[in-house]
Amino acid sequence: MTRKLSLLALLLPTIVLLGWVGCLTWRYNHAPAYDVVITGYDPRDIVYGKYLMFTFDWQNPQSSKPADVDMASLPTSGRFYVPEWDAMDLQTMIQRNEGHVFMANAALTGKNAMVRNLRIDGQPWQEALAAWRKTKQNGPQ
Amino acid sequence: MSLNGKLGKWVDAGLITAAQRDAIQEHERKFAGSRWKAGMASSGLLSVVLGLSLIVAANWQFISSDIKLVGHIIINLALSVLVWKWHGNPARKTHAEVALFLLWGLTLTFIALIGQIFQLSGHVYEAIRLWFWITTPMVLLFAQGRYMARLWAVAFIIYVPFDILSTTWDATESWNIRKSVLLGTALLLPLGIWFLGRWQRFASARQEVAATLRRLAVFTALAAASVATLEFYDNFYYSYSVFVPLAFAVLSIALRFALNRQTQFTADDKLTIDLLCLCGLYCTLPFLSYALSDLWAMLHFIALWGLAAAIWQQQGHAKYVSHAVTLISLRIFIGFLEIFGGLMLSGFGFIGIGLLLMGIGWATRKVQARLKGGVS
Repeated sequence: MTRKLSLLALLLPTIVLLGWVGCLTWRYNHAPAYDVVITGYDPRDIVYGKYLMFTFDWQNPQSSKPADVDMASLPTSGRFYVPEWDAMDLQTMIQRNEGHVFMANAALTGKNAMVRNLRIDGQPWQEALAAWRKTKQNGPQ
Repeated sequence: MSLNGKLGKWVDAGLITAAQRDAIQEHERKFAGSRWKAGMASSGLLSVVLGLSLIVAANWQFISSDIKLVGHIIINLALSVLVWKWHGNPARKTHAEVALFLLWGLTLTFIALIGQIFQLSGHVYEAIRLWFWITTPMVLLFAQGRYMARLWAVAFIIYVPFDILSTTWDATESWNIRKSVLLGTALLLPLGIWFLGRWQRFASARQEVAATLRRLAVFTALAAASVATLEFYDNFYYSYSVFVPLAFAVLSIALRFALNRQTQFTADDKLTIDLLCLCGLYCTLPFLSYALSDLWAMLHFIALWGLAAAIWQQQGHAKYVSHAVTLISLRIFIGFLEIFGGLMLSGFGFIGIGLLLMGIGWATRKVQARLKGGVS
């Protein structure tokens, strides 16, 4: 009995985290997702590496949202992991306020949102960022 | 001076014999040999691990989420298997301890990885809360060395009171409930930890961890009672019923007498229970007094540590007595600064402080020497 309990204690962290991963994977794939315009950011986070941190603009006409839902019950902020060297350029891109529309595809689970991907002007963020970098290198046309 | 030089001097002084010198030199030669091999192996292993880590870090964004998760799970499971395999083997005690330490740390990185992959927007303290609670049974059951036990103790003392209090503060606006939880934590948490460390079945199986828990209990109780003196500086900001601290003061005294009647405790245990209950009582005093006073804060601190020193004196803990006397001396100096701080700007102030420091140093040495004599 003691031996079994000891083994359980040893495996408890891995079992709990595996269960959590399973639960999150199911939610990630099955929870209803919406395209929401995002504003505000801070790509730095001391623990988790580099993130875009933003607020959801549910009131924006371009944002889709669940029907018949109280706006107060929707998540207000989210974050999205991006590689370190992209984070700074994304920050500059937003700072320059050149009219780009940043849109997050967020799976909603209650008050929380899991951002599945990020699109800029309708393109995947990597492509939009690459195009923006090219424009920056060539200078204004 | 080298060891050989020292050994030669000790032989000349008649402290050790030539045979003992030779035996020590032989032992050191053997130890140095294994240390060199172990050092080389460790350096090689560290280099390989660093290299792999750098490759993974440089290509992090190109590795799929599934591979990251599965890879991390495999590493954690492999470490679990190693801990399980080695933990009962005295020859592999260090290996088991290192594997447990890595598993402990990598559980936290796994939580961070999950947060990154699923883009969770939780707070750092939520990740640490999950990590601490799911790994605590594992650490308590498998840690055998003092380093792992002490690391866990540090995590405990920083995290657990903070978690209890922050959860309470978030849950209620009532200062009566908040102060009840605060005082209850200060009294019952150290007692609970001490009882776990004193539990015979646990203590015989995990001697280092149990000893660390008993020390942690005393340290937590004294830290809480010392921090409680801050209440003398700003206790008028929040209103609470006097019955809250009064109830915990009565509970501290009642627990002390109830536990001291138990026959299973040794005289040493009973003195520790006295100290833990005394700390619980001292936590309530600033809340009972409703006083705002630098002087009371200093007297409270000095009385607390003076009583702790007296108890340790009876238990024969000369080192702790010495620490208590040092803390009291420092507190007296801080009290001087609080009262006469403005004088520091003048030449007379510097002279006064210099003389006071020398006086405190001299008095502390005298008191410590006398107390140590008493202990021995």
